[in-house]
Amino acid sequence: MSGKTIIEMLNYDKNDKRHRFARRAIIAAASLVVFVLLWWNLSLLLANPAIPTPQKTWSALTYLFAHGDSVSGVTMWSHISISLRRFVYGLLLAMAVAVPLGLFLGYSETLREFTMPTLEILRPIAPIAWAPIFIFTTGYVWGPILVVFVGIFFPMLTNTMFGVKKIDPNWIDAAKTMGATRVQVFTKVMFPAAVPYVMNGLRVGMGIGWMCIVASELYASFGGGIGFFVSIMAQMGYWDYVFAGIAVIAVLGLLTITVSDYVHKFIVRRMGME
Amino acid sequence: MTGIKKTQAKDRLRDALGGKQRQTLSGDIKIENLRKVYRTDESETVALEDFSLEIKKGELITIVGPSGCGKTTILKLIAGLVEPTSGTVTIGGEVCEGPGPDRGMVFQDFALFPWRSVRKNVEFGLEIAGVPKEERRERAQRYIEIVGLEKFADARVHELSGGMKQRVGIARALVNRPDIILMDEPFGALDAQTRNIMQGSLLRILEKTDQTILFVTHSVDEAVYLSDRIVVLTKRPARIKEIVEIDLPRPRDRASVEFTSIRKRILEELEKENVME
Amino acid sequence: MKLNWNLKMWAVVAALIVVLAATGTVLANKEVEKQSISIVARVNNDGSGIFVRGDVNVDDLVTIDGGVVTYHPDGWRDMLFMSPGPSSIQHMILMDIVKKKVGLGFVQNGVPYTEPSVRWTQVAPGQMKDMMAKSKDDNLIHGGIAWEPHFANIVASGAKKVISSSQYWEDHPCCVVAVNKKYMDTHGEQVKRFLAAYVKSAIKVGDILETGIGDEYEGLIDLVVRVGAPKEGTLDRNAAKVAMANTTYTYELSNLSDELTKVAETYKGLGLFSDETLTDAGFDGVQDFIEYLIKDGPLSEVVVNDGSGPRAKTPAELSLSDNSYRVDVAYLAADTHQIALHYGIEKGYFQEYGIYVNLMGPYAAGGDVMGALLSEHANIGLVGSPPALLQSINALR
Ligand SMILES: Nc1ncnc2c1ncn2[C@@H]1O[C@H](COP(=O)(O)OP(=O)(O)OP(=O)(O)O)[C@@H](O)[C@H]1O
Ligand SMILES: [Mg+2]
Repeated sequence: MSGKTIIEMLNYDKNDKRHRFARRAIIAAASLVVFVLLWWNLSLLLANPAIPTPQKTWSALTYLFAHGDSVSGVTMWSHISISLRRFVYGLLLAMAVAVPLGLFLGYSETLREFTMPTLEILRPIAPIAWAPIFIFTTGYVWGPILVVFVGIFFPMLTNTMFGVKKIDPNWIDAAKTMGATRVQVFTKVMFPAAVPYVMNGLRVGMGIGWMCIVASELYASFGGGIGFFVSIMAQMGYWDYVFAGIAVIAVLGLLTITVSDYVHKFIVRRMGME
Repeated sequence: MTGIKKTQAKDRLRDALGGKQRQTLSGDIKIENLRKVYRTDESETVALEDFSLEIKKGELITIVGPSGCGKTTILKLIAGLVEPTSGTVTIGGEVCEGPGPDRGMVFQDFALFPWRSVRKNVEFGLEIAGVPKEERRERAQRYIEIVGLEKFADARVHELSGGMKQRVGIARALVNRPDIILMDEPFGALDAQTRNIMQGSLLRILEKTDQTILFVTHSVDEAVYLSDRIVVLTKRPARIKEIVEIDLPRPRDRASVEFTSIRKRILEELEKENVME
Repeated sequence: MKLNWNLKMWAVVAALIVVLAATGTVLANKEVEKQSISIVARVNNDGSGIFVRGDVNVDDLVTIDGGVVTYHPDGWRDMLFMSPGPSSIQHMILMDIVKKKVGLGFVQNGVPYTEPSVRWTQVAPGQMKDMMAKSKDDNLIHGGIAWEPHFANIVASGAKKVISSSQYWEDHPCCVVAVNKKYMDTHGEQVKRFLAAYVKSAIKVGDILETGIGDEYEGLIDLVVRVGAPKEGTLDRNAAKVAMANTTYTYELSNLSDELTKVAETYKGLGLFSDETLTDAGFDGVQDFIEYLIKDGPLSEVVVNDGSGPRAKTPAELSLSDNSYRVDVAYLAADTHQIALHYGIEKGYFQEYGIYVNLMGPYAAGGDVMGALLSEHANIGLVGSPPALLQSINALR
């Protein structure tokens, strides 16, 4: 590479996509370096076993992914897949219930007036508060899934309802003049029109849902999962494992949010409803 | 409701069935003492008052009137999308109670489905009617070509200009071949050139069918060019100020003396309505 | 050539990185005192057991002939057992039995496995009875391992006893009295007073249980029923008596070193403890580590044997001042192993020695008690030996 091109590369041009990307990457890297250094200093300063250094956490992470721990007898991959599976079940369940219900409630004012008092009572309850009850009544398999369900259900429901209320009445009129029945208006107009709002509910819900799954696994679970892993490791004082678990939770949380943001954007754009 | 098979040109059909012997057909509209009051929490708006009109099958009627006088309301009442406060709309001998595919509508603000492509928008009514996929595509394609959007058949609605959207709306209503077509300022967003082309296309389509048309426009020129009769409305609440029969042969010459004199007269009537009180 | 960089900002960032790296390096080379605990007395031996649902045939699992237990792997296969949690001695015992005696894998429930295994799942002992009742319908759980009084109580409610923990390892260590190491170094006086009162209570409880009859015995059982059940009326009185008989109450440290070494070796065998960990924490081996933990000084100071058996020295013999002190003591929920603590409080023994016991908890698992000790929330804790070992080594690493 000639000297000229290096100088050119160092010259930041904000109209160049590659330059913008490089700039963002460098700033992010600097921010992470500072974060890790701060963490390192803090852990040394506090000298508390529960706050291991980044090096210890990193070697715990690599070990857990490669070999796993002897208590659960499985690698971190298995814990991740167990948690993700619960998360996905809860998510699907919430979608299956909240979307049709949201469409109905957005559509029928009477139904809305009838159900809202109950829903408004239930909504402010932190989903994790249900964990003991769900886990006892439905068992350890469904318990955590139901906690996720509750967490995702409400944002999904309110967004869907909001979406239905935002529907241009002309769309419905247009469909009716073309002979659409009530059911067809529902499936061919109201549902697609509400999809961007459903997706927004999904985006909000996924962030909450991920917190719920970890919290409910921390509380108790039947068969592993990343939250459960963290709780048993804390019980035995494997703090570097605990931190490794927390790091995995953070990364997966970030991933779910990024993925749902992307899906939301993609679908809204696809549907031409930006 | 499409029971009549088209066998003759529309003028001859009208002659043959004309007068008192004529039976009610699915394309006939009879509006009696229609009144519409919009009620909201804060206010009451009388949009339409004492409105009666008989329209025969195959007629092309335009409605002109001051802005906000209640034109859209009339179309929606006929479409069955709003309920009259009093009075009745009778279609083909039956009192109208709600919308149906026998009355197609072109909406003033297009009302296109943004999640569907142009083609899928046009296919909507056929989909509802359960037309098989192949035939659906073919018929939609034909109307997309008529409105000159074949290059945009797979575009999304938000990629279109206002004029293009309006043409999609027209194609979407026409493709279902309703007995009655209600068009709410369908050419309003078009430039003069396209507008003239579209007016020509509309007349050509109608020549081959015997569809009844109710056409709202702000352009008196357009009204005179297209209509069999022009209904001139007062300012709100809309009443019929005058009905003008246009007996000029088609295609009409916009520069002819008759054409310009009719246009002038109607414009004067409207101007009187527009004077502020 | 002009570079469009915000050089001032980057200079600050670079400086920050250099400074943090420097302070980090300095701190990393500084010796810091790490939190640890000292074990000053034993609490009990034995006192746990494995049970299965009433509809399971125990003979399929074990046959016992003159004290010799034979395990039958086919009967154990694919069964699902409840455990108080991986840090408990009960978990260790079950894991050791399954892996070494039965010869099967020991996997967490819900995790796919290929080789023949027994599954485990964590359930708080207080909930095990309910779970057993529920499993009669859903057939999910086959049995479990729990400490007393839960073991006796669950068996009394229709489950079957497989073996008690003493049949697997006679006189195995269980709970111990652990003291935060810093507290031990700075508050020797309080530790001594607490220990004297505790020993007095433990000896008294042992004596009462030996009699096994009379007002004092019934009074103790009253206390067991109260302490042993989170909700009134859920612990059967007879089960409480059985639970007390299954447990050996003692404070003595003799042999504890060997026994804890055995626990640590078991953990090594199970992969939870490694020589590397010991080296990391600065020990030559298991023995070295155990000796670091056990401190018999305070106990030998407060116990005297004048012919009629050992007893706690009186306050006068210890020439204690009239001062009184508060001690924060962490304890486990519904664990009758720790009955001597509650008995001593009820009878005012601690007061006699100028100690006000401020109970911290109850904690659900030994790991939590250790957490309270290592974070200095509690000064003294009654805790199972396995979490004591595991958490200590991990905190020193
Ligand atoms: N849904 C409604 N609720 C209340 N008032 C309404 C409603 N729809 C129309 N109106 C009122 O009725 C009157 C007539 O409205 P309409 O839309 O029929 O007029 P228009 O002649 O089509 O107007 P434009 O020339 O602007 O298209 C207006 O004053 C309008 O505000
Ligand atoms: Mg209008």
